[in-house]
Amino acid sequence: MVLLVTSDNEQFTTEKDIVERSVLIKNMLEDVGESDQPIPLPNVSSSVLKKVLEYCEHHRGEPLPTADSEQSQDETRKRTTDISEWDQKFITVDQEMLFEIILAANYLDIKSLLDVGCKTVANMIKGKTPEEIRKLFNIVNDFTPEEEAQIKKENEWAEDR
Amino acid sequence: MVLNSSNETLLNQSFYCHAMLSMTACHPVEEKSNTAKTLRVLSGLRSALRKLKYRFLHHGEQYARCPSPVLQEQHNSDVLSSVPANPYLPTRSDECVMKLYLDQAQNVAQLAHINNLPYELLTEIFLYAISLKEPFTPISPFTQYPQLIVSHVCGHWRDIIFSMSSLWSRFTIKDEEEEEEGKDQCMYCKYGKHIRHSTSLSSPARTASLNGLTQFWFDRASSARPLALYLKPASRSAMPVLIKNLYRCNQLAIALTQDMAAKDLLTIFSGDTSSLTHLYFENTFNRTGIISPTYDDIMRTPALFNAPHWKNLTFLKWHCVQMPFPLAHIAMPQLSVLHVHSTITLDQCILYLAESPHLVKVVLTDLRLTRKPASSMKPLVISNLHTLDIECQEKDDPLDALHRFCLPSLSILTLASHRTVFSARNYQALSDLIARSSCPLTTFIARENNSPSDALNGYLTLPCLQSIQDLQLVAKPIRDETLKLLRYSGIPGRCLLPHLKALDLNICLTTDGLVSDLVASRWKQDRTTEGAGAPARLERVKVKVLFSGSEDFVDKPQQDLDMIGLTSFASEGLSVIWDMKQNMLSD
Repeated sequence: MVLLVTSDNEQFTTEKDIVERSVLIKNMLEDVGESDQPIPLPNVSSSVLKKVLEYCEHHRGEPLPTADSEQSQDETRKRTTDISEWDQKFITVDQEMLFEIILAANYLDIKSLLDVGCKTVANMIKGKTPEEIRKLFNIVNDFTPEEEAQIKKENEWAEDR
Repeated sequence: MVLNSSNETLLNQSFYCHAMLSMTACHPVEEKSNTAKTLRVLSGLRSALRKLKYRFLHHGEQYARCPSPVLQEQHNSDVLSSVPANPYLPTRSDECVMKLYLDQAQNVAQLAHINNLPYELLTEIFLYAISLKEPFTPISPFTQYPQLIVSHVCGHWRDIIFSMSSLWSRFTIKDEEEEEEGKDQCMYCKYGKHIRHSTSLSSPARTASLNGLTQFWFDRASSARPLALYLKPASRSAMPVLIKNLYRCNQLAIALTQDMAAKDLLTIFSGDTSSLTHLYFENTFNRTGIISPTYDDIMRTPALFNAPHWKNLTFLKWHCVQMPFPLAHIAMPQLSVLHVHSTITLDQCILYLAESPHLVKVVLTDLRLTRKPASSMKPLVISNLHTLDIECQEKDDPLDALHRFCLPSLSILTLASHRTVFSARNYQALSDLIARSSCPLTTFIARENNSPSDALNGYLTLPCLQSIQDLQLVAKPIRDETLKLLRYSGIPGRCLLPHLKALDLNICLTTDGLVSDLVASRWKQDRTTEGAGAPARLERVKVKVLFSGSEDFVDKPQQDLDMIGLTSFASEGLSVIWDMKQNMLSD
């Protein structure tokens, strides 16, 4: 069993094969060896770690992505945004939690969870206009006047006439 | 650069902001969810810096932001308008300015959680959102592009998307007809409207937009990264822009069409081709079409045949069955990859290859062999060639071409045949090539498009191929006998291809269970027998079974046993690609 301590000082005890889906923790455990010392996770809150562990538990036993598969993913043109049904339900959370999960997956180095998060956000962006995207994510339009003029020109190329 | 009071003030502000940015980044944040809070502030500061940069560059102008539904109020009373005229050091006003910026930054950042994500994660998301199915981004006026949509959201996103040069570096100009045909399949259809039928190909509006869009694409691509262009008939309207920017391209593909477009497209060679390293000619018209006008246009393009232009050319692909390879008489000693799909004869080909001693890969498709006694020909030595792919015309045996080569570095060999009947193959030619070359052949690919499986089985029993590690068999179809030959019986020392680690079977029409049985025999063997006459363990397996699309496969069994077996091996760590009905069930 492995003891994890979150940024808000909550402790989680979990099985090694679950938590080793995180490359960061796996490497830490390999470095430290057999030890009862808790692993501090200062960048992950308890609510987020709970979700992350739920994901890891569901996917325990599945092969971890190899260097080869990661390399093939780098090819931008071969990427798909398909997400499995369970993962879709799992990642149906509010935006704040969604982005916290992505940050945690990045920090903990859980490639598959990071992919699920990124694909979810990508699917939210797809098919929307810039204004709809701004509204969805509460993004401020901060373009300079020059940029606005250029964007107007770019929109003219795309306008039906 | 001359500093005046105004821009010094702004430099001070910038310095102040950078200092605070660094402090914020380094400060040990003790709040709950440290990373997110820190990133939120950083995100806001990024926006503040962006404003300062703009103000610095346009210090004489009234700063004005575009209306924003969220921060309209702040825009109306923009704090920069109150910047003092001539301070040399940060003043009280500057501090106020920065405090307001920081407050604003935090407010904004708290609203936009997505901008808490660091650059590398946002790029990852954008790559998923913009992933392109085609190797060249097809651009055209009056079509919305995901790249543009994302770049129109906010300055931060625009900066990121413009920094992702891979999204802008390979493009083609799409024909109207293609857009209409591919409307349902194109990924970018989701992003907006499509060209109207009424907009003619040569309308001034379209031409103007096309030129603007093409130049925009060139501008977005990194100047440090070479570009790839694919010229199609629709590119004609943008030729001036394309020619002007050709010096930045290292890859150029040209569609050979039978209309008048080819002539216009060939004017590209009047541009600066000095950076070109890859040149492709692609056949995009019906194989039975009339081609002579196009070929004449090619032959009347002097720039194409100006050999000094091709001093950097390393990759040349000519893909047109009916047209002779037009560059066959131009020596290209620097060429490293040659791919010719044409009615070229082996003799012509050998003459050309002899002028290119640095070749590492040669693909010859639709090759015609000449009937000459092998003993009368001295084999051509190509020292560095590691990949040779020969596909002959229907009546010819690709093995007959091998007596013309001596390839000491050959490691990947592909032989493809279209012969409809099996007759004695010249397997001795392959044995002779390998003996003559002393080459380290590791990969062998046999494509038998029409022959029965006897032809494949002949290869598998050749002593000269027993050292290969990677075997790909392509046949329509592969039968039981071939799989039985490859199966390890469990008796040490009695196994064909004992070093085999990767096996690709395409397309199987075999008894259910035979594929998994073969794989199991070479993968699940007792490890203790390795090195004692047992074959190497398989590492990768790829099997393809087609269920539909051909009458040959109507009575295809369901392959349940194979599927269960291979799925089980995959879960135990074997790399398996099981392709059924074009679906990859396990990777």
